[in-house]
Amino acid sequence: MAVVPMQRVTVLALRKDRKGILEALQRTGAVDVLDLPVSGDLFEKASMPESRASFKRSVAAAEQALNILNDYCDKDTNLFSSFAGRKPLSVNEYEIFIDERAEMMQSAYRILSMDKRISEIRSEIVKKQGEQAALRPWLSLPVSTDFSGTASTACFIGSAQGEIPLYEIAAQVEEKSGEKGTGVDISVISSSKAQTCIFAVFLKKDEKLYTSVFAELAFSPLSIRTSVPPGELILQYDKDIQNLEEEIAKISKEIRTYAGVRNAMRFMIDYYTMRDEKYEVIGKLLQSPHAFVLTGYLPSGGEEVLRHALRNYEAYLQFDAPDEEEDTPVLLKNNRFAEPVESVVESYALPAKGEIDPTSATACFYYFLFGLMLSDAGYGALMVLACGGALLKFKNMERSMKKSLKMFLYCGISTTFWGLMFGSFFGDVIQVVSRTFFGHEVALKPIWFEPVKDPMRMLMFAFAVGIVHIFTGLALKLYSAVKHQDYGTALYDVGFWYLLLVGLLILLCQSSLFADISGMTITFPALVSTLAAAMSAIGAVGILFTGGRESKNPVKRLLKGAYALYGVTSYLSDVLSYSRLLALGLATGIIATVVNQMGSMMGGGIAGAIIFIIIFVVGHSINFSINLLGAYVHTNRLQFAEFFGKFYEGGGRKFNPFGIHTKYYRIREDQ
Amino acid sequence: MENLGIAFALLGAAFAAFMAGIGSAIGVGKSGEAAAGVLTEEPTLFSKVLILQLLPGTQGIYGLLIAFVCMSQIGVLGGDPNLSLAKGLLYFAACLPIGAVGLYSAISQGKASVASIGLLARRPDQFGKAMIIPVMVETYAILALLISILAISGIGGLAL
Repeated sequence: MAVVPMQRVTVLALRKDRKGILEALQRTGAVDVLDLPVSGDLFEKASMPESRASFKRSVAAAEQALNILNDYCDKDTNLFSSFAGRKPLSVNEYEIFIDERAEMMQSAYRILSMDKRISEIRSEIVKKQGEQAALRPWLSLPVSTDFSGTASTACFIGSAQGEIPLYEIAAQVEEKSGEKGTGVDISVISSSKAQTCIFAVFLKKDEKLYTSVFAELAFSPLSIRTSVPPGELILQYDKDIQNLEEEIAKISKEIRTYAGVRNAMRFMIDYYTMRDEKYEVIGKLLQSPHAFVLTGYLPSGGEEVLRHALRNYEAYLQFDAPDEEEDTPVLLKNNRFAEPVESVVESYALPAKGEIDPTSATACFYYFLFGLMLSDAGYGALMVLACGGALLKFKNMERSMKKSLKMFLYCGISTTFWGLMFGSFFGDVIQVVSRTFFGHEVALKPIWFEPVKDPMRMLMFAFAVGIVHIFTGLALKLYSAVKHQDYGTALYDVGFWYLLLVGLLILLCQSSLFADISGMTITFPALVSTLAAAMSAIGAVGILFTGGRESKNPVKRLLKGAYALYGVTSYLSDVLSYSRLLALGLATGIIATVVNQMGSMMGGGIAGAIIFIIIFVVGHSINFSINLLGAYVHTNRLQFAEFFGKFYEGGGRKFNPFGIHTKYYRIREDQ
Repeated sequence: MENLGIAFALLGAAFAAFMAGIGSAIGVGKSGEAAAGVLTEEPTLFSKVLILQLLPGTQGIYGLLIAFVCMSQIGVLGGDPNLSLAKGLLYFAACLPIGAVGLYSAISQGKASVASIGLLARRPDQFGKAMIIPVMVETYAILALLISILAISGIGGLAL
């Protein structure tokens, strides 16, 4: 249970060995490389943005190709693939793959270009369909749309808004043209609520007159100009679209023949990610014409591994203890019980320089509180089965996934434990089923008590858990202060608080208020009460005078001390916050009971049993997932706000070693 | 008039369920809009975003919970529905906290969830912090739930 001490490592080697040494370091994945500033004229840095950009482009191309293949082909992964972890790949296979990388990337680009062609065709189809839609009202127009008349006639093809009957158009045209007109032949091509399309023929000498008449009547000429009549054109487009669709089908079929290269695409993604990572490190090296220097952090005890990895190269290795004020990266190391909770601590913050690793204490309370909030033996058993099963089945699982599953496994065990204590197994399913289907009620007796029947007792228990949790937080602050030999903090910020809080607690337990709420009467001997009063007085006075000890001004100091003493109210609200243990525990149990009751409403018999099973499965799935989420987020909250608030700030930088951070393959060292 | 007790008690149960339900519906809806927006850019964040979206949904469950406990206590779900007017009013009062606090806290939590989803979109590694911020709001819904539960379970034993 601790933060792993770090040491500084410096590797000095010849430039000709750079590739080999970096690859060896990348495979060990033990060194967090530092980006040191250049000093002096001898060394310089060579960052290679172009190479890195080209690697990133390759990664993106391979990723896109993989996505395209996944869209077109049957899936080669399933729901459980994420548990299976990265596939191991021997160094030999790795090298064979590397030799074929040019062909692989060619396939990737070929797939991308085919996909691009398909989207081009798709947009062409959409365009044609749009034109078809625009031409559809003109379907029965007997001439082409760019028809302008015969030797002696001219025509007008156009449309106006709204549905206008032919006689109305004819009358209006006649009225507008007056006596000058020599007659016009109007036919309505189509008419709908939106528009009326007409085709009008008149003598060529009247062209000007009639065109302006139609304009006056708000008819606008047709803007589509084609040399084929619309009917034929629509048919032609239908044929074109069919051809285009056939082309899409052909290209899709060709893409599908590439289904087998998906693994190659995954390899390419990994390979270029690795190279990019290597080049990132190259950018951090100090290089002279013939040599280079690499500086980084290494967990203590890693010297031998590093020496062994670099045994074939002429490299000078130096290990130094880091300076006091150096910002070393943080790596946590814990036993198997506490390790899964590291990610929870990390999601808050890693310990800052000099802080203790809170993981072990957090882990104990995490499993405890989680179980108390979910508190149903059935749900707990489900968690244990699901997580345990996955852990047993997928041995090759990624470390982070393994950690979270283990965390939920332990939480599940705790949930089962509390479920049995409170007599809850899928709510009251045993009682309901035995009563409804077998006629006599069998009850699952709680080992301790039933919170639904005695919520005050549960509330008192929740507060007690809270007090223990908060006092543990204070104790960790004490431990940390003593470890740093900061006895002032130990006394002023922890000792006085303990005196005050314990004293107040004893006084509170004897008060009539407590007796009214909890229904318990606790009496201590008179000596204890006097002692408690004295303790809280000493604590309060101590805090008043030391709470603001960093201020020089005595008035300011007292005021700050008074403010610190006022902080006792925050302890009160912290403890009250643990009432969520009761509320969430009751929520799980009561909703489960509701589900069971709804299920049993149809009574016994086969139909009743079927209905019961359906309602049971659906209802409990919903209740389980919602309360799992609730227990998870509220356990985190109690840890982060109430527990960490007492002693832990965090702010450390994560140990991020130069290594192989691939997504799909794990390179196995055979030698 | 003597039957008004049960009417008030059921009114309370309905109030708890619908007020908290409305709040959760608004909260989950708001955060759902933000979640869908993030997913258009980052579909891989689905599971994390879903958790954040669901956070304001618990108030509705708490409302349902109180409504159910209340209904089973007053005998609407089978049993003896004879209730004095005073008891009925007491049940009504006991349902008020989770109804009112559920409504407002779910809406505020929805807003905090929206902000957290935005945070997650930019910093997907900061899920722990993004999650804890909306959870802070829920504390008050839990406190209201607690008072409602304690009050309802206490009323049953009163001789009124």
